[in-house]
Amino acid sequence: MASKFSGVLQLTDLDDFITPSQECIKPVKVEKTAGEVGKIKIHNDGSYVQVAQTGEEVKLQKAKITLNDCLACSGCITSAEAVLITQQSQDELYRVLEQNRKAAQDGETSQEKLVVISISPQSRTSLAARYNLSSLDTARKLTGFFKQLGAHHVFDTTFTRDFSLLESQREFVQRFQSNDTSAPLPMLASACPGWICYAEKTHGEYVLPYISTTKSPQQVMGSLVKDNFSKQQGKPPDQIYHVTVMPCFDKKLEASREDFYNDVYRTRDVDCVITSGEVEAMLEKEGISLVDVTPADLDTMFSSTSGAELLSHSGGGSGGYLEHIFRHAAKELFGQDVQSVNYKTLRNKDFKEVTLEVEGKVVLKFALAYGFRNIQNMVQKVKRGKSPYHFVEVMACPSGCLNGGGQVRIGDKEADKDLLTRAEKLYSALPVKTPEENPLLESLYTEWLSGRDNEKARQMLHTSYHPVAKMTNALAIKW
Amino acid sequence: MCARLEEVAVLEGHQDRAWTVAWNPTGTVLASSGGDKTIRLWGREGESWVCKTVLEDSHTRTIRSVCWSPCGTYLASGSFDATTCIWDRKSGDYESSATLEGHENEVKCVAWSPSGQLIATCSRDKSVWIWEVSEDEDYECASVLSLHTQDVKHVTWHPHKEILASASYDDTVKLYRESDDDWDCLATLEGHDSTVWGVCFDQSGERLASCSEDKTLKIWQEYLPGNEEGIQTQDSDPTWKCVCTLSGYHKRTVYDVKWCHQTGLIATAAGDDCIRVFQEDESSPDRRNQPRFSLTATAEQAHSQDVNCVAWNPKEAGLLASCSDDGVVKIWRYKDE
Amino acid sequence: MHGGTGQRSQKWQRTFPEKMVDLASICRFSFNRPIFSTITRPEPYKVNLCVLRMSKDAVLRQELDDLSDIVYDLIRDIRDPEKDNSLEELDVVYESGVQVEPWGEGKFHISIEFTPTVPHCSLATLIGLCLRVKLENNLPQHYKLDITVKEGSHSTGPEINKQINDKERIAAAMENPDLRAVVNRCVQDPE
Repeated sequence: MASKFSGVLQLTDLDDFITPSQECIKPVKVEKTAGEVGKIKIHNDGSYVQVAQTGEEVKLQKAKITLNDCLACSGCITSAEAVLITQQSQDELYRVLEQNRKAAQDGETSQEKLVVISISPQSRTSLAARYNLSSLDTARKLTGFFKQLGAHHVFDTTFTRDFSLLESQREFVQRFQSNDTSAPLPMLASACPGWICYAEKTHGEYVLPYISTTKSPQQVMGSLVKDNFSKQQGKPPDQIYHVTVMPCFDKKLEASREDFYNDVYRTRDVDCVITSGEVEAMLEKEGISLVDVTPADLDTMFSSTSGAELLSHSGGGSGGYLEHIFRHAAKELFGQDVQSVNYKTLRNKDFKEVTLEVEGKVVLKFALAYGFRNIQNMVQKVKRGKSPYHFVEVMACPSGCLNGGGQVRIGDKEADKDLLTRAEKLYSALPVKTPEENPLLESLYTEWLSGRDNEKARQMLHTSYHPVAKMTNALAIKW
Repeated sequence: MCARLEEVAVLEGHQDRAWTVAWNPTGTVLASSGGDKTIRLWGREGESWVCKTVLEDSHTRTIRSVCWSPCGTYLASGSFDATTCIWDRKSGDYESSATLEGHENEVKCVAWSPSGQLIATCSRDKSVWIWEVSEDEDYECASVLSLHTQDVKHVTWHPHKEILASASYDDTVKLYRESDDDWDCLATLEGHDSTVWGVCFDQSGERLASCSEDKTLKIWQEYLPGNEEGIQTQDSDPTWKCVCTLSGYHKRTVYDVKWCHQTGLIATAAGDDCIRVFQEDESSPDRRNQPRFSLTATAEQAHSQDVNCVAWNPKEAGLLASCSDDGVVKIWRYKDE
Repeated sequence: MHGGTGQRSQKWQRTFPEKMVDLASICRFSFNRPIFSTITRPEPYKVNLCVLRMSKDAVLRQELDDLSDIVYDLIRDIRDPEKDNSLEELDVVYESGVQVEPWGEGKFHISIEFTPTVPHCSLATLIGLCLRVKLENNLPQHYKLDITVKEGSHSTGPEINKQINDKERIAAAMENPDLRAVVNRCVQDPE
């Protein structure tokens, strides 16, 4: 079974193989009272019973593993794809849509969930390249497709990336100006969940303080939908089913993090993540090509459009964190207007560097480090205090998010390369704007968050990371 | 059988099983390492061989593999503690000058490329890493190859091209070359029925020998695109085909195989406590496609336990080193009768 | 319940007044020396072991049987990693699962078959590890050891067999302090 996770996660034990027919059973040491000798029998249905000496049978509980267990575990337990698939998949979305239909039929409208779909620009682009459509047509057709299936709103996470970019910019300048050892430089980008998971599991305390606390666009959208939008709609957060469409499987892990779980309403900010490839599978299931889907108007509430055009950010298919922070920092810290950002390719095409010189002196040094090998070198340098950079845009996948593990694949190496090239072209053809130019953002800061530097803004736009202790339960260690 | 292995030296010192022996490029120093977390350097003193230095305190677990740089100034050691250590002799003594970190668990083998510019390591974490040696003696990861589905047991470089071979618990051997600013697999050699423990090239680099838990030794031949045998190749890559399987000789797992670049002899180390030497039959009618090898010498009970590694001296033809679970390192001379 | 075994154990008690464990410390690091040269033990011990080593033809079968008994006596008391029971009590190991054959001069080939408690017992590899370590620590003879799960008794039998016979994986596992602790706990002699 080939793994669908990013290369980074495949390397860690997270991706360890378990037999597909088996459920992952976490071995638990049972403290037994002395003298009690029993036998364990397996019934034909696969259930385990303990037979006491009296002949009495007691059914034993099967320990089930959730995605949270996987995330909290450093070793043995695999994030079996089976686990992911039962918890976050197109099937789960279909199940909710079916429940809604039933509730509507039975006239129990209060039982109906409001279904919100938030599509990432990378997924939209992948599907556009796959079906040879323009970005705008794809957006409209995807909106049409999801609404036909029963979704109520379809948003674009480009909108919440504005928040992520603005917050990252501010966070960087603050780190640069302060000598706070709990928020050191280089600041490392936080949008890639594969990278975060890897850092938490293998580099724990060393590296986590360097990672930007800003939430990814997916999770900002989660906050916006389950907090701001839910209030607007007069629906409690658990009555909204929020689905994102993402370029990678690791985003499912991100959505499952406890940090993004609402204890009061027992709901996640993002309930379900489906990948670009899974959307393709949904279209196939419906027996329709995206080309033939009747388009629908784009939702305007949280959208990134200008007139009839979709908007994007400069700086490439992974979100443009480096470029935005670079320009902002150059202006804020050194009064420099950066016209064009010049990347210098270093060791390989996935490791690039950008510098700002003032009076012949390098004052800012940023880097892009994509793919596992470059992350490795970067992490080792940071650990040894030898990193020359102020900021690093870290992404687990080579070539960044447009090449994410959840993107549409044809299965042939060359064809997939062409598909990626087409996607990159489509993506870079979109007109760009800066997050500062988004008028809606300002009003959300004021009305939703009551400003910028407060607890509410911190809760909604920032998160924290937790080192995962190394597995010491010998019964579960893989050797 | 027309030759024998004469025991030249018995080197005692390791306090636990000895995993590897490796000659320096001039053949004057033999390095050995093992479960006692030390590296021992052995050299000649008059007629006898003695332990010159013990390198210790750099690894916290078994040192599974040692390897010299082609210039002989550096030594690399790979350990079950997941790190690879670089030892530097510049100041006269060997000092640990760098640690290569990144593997998730046990490093099983380390190999320095003939140019000295690259180091390959492999691990139970299923990956093969290629490290670049920069001018300021910094070691940066140039590639992480996660193409094996299991524990990677051994890595070795082509004698003069930048081609790497890896052997794995997944029963295959893989070959890699650089393409398009990253490394990529150029061939997967399937044929063994169990773990492939060792792999090595002959002097020409056109042949490979591999040894396995399945108790066999296999010889693989490279066929370039447009080969006269008409063997299919893909793109500009060669195809590697098994042209000979030596079975029935080894009674247990074959842990190591080494092809002598001077004499063409193949030596094996096995779990049946024996060292065996095979020679190609030069009178075979089709040496390229159907080579024949015969067993010319066996050191029965060469060690009292499993033999883990053998190494031909690079300068002195016929001089062979071995080491074993019994903790002993031995030196042998191959003698034609 | 295990009548046969009981008898044999008694026999061994007669011949060996001390526990086999004592041999461990003696032989672990005497790798390249003649294996029993360092033994300075009470007389019955020495004599018996010499017979073991030198026996060839007529006595051979008896010696093999005796060694097979020693091996079984060593492994029967290994505790299950999860439960308080011994492997024998759980029917994980049994006398018929131990086979000893001669292997070259003065050496033996030991094969042990065991049956995991359930077909997808996640601890089968750990049990394999315990079996191997127990013999390694206590059996001075030169031997080659193969351990297998009973055919059909485990859903991933071939994979388990491969892993528990890979000496490199075993060596590495035993350097993991957490695993080492569990294995030591399991192979410790019962009070």
